[in-house]
Amino acid sequence: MTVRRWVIEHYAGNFPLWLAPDQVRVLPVTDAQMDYAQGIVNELRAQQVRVELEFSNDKLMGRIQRAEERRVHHILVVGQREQEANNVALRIHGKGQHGVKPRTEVVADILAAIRERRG
Amino acid sequence: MCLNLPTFLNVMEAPKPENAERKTLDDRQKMTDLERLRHSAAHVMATAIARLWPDAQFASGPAVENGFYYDVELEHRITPEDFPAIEAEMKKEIKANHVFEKLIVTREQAFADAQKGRLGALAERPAPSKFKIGNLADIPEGEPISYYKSGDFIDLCAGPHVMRTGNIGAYKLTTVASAYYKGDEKNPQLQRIYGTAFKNKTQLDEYFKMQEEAKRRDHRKIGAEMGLFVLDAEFVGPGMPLWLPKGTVLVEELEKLAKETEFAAGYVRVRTPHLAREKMYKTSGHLPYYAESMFPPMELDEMETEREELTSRLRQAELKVGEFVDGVMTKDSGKGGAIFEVSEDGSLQRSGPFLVKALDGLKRDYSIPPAVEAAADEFRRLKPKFDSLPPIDRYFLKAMNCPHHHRIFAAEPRSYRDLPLRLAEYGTCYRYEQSGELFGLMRVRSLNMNDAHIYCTEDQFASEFKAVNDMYLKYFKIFGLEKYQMRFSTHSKEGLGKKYVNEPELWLKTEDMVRRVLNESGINYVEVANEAAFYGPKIDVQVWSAIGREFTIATNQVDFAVPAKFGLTYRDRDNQDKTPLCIHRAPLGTHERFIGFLIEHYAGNFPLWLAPDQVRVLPVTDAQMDYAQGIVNELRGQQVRVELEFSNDKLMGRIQRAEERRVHHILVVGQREQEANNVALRIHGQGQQGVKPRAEVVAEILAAIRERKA
Repeated sequence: MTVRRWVIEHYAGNFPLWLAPDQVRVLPVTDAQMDYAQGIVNELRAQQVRVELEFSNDKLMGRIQRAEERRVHHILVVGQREQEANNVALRIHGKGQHGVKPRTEVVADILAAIRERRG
Repeated sequence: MCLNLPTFLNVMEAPKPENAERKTLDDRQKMTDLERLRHSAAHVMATAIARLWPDAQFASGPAVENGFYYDVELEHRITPEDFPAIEAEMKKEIKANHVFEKLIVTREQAFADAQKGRLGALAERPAPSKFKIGNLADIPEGEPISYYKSGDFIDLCAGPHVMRTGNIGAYKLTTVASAYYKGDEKNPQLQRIYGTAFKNKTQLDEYFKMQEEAKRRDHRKIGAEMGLFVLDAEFVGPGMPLWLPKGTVLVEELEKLAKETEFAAGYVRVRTPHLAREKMYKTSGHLPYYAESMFPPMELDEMETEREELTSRLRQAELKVGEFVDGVMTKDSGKGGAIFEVSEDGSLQRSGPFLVKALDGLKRDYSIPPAVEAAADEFRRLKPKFDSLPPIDRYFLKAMNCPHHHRIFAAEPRSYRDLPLRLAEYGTCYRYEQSGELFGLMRVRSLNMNDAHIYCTEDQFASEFKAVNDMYLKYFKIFGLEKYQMRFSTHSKEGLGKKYVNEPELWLKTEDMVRRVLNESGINYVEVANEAAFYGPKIDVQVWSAIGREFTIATNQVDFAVPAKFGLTYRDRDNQDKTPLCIHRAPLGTHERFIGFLIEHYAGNFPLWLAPDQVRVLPVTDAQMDYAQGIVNELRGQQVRVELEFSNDKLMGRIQRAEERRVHHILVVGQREQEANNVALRIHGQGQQGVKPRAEVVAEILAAIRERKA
């Protein structure tokens, strides 16, 4: 069995954060959070994190579902309240919602998990 | 980077050896002042050679990249020892300041003069000017035929020249090589005498100084000294470099740079196999047009055993039938012979089905022996089986990555939301270059390309293309390349449907988009008509090394035809399927060529971030071992390539060795440094930098690497 296949089967495609092809996706609830969301994306991308922003006319639930289907590891939802408090609502693939946390804490956690190749 | 059909071969490659291809009148009009001067110098050199050896037969004498040459047939083998005498004769011609006089003649006149040995000569001679007769035959009907006369020397020549021999400022003969007349090995072998010429002595001296410097910086020499790569022709194959550990550092640092830069620019990386089936390259159009530059295919026959058995049985049956038919014909005619079928092209064939048919024709008049009948039956039975075997599967080593990337585009349904899609890969390609043209890392058969293909809509083209150019400029800055030029090649109306895909409007539109971006970004470029690729305009990127030598590093190409050949589409906003444009780009070219260039550019003294040996720590005595090891551990923890060298050698010996190995930072620690938590810093090629705090030196090293400081 090749290494690649072994890795894929071992994790059933749900790779740890450091290995995940899609590490983070940021979802602004409405247009008003676009700048805030983009700022998070830029911050993470500058640290070589594989991160994308998805804003479309789709409803939030649709976007979350799509991100889950693509096995995006960290899903950061930002609405008006999160923006005002400099927070993010965190969702981890396969593990559901993790509550609202400070942006800096989430960013730091993401970077540490990648750096340490946490399982 | 996908390349293009007709111009394909030039891409990413060193200039090929000059060939004897005839320049068109159009090409001649484009000759620069310096080329005119050099071509005139070639005439003057021929004049000098004719004075010394009047029976010399001249062929062609063009200006070439760094000078000029003239091909001559002469019993005497010209060697560099003859150069002073030839140069002395040239001096006389130049001093005489003859006018280069153009004479238009008829074809008949030219043939008559050539017969009298007058062309490429000082006077009429008993032997005809045989090569000039051959050259005359190549001049198309209707094209004017001209001589150039300077002093006594008359040559068949379309020019152009400088006004007078006195305009040739400074010149020097350089080497002798051999070449076949018209570059064809069936023709006689000639002596090719090379020289160079400039407007004045200063420029000539500068040129030779640069050549000397280039020799000193020869990437093959430095590559061996530093242990960067080897070419193992015997076991691996010619033109296929093996990257040694130190060279691999360069390769991986460049890849890291590319990965970081491309990541920031929104590229995604892919990986593809080195092989693909014949269908891939037939679809892309590389087969058959590019077949000569690809390695021959590998044949994979799943039905090999069956195919071999059927072939052998069919062959035996054929022989048996053929023998009998031949025998009957021989008996009938009374002469020995064999039966053949004349095929459409007039050649004689003797296929199995034909022999079996011939046998049937004999049935009425002759009795057929049972063994022969059985053989014919077997043939009839097996032939359809043989014909229905699946064809042999042919695999090719990829010579370019684009077709694989196109298949990645095609692997999933794409929507306008997915565009621009930027697929990047340091792809390994294989190209079959002629063995005589292989040269160090500059012209190779296996290459790793900093490749990417950007699929975008027409609306996105300008910003994508601008981003590509910005990436080039960013790289130029990192490598300290101050002089560069982009050569923007466009199509020609006349070439549409021949040299160029027949899409006149798309050509104009794309070229216009490219031109606008180049202008808006303030990029230094020149536009060259009629040199585009088959599928779209291309931009060759030329850079000049630290010693002023020019290298073509990479080619960008705008491709509006191949995505359609592969049926690539995306679903647009209006729900229509549309074909994307594709930008092929490779700013860092190939590892082979780019590192070959960097070796010359830096003379092997790479900046810290690239240097294979970044830091070496030298404790003066045993007592500083722990302190030194602590510095090594700290740096190594930060991925710095650092070594500790403690040996019984004296310090000076170790410093000298580190300098020879081009170690960038040398940190010497003695007792005093240890006590004060300092290091004595020495930088390769720059000598001592004084004693500094350890923390400061470590921080500087890490910053210089992170920022890729020059």
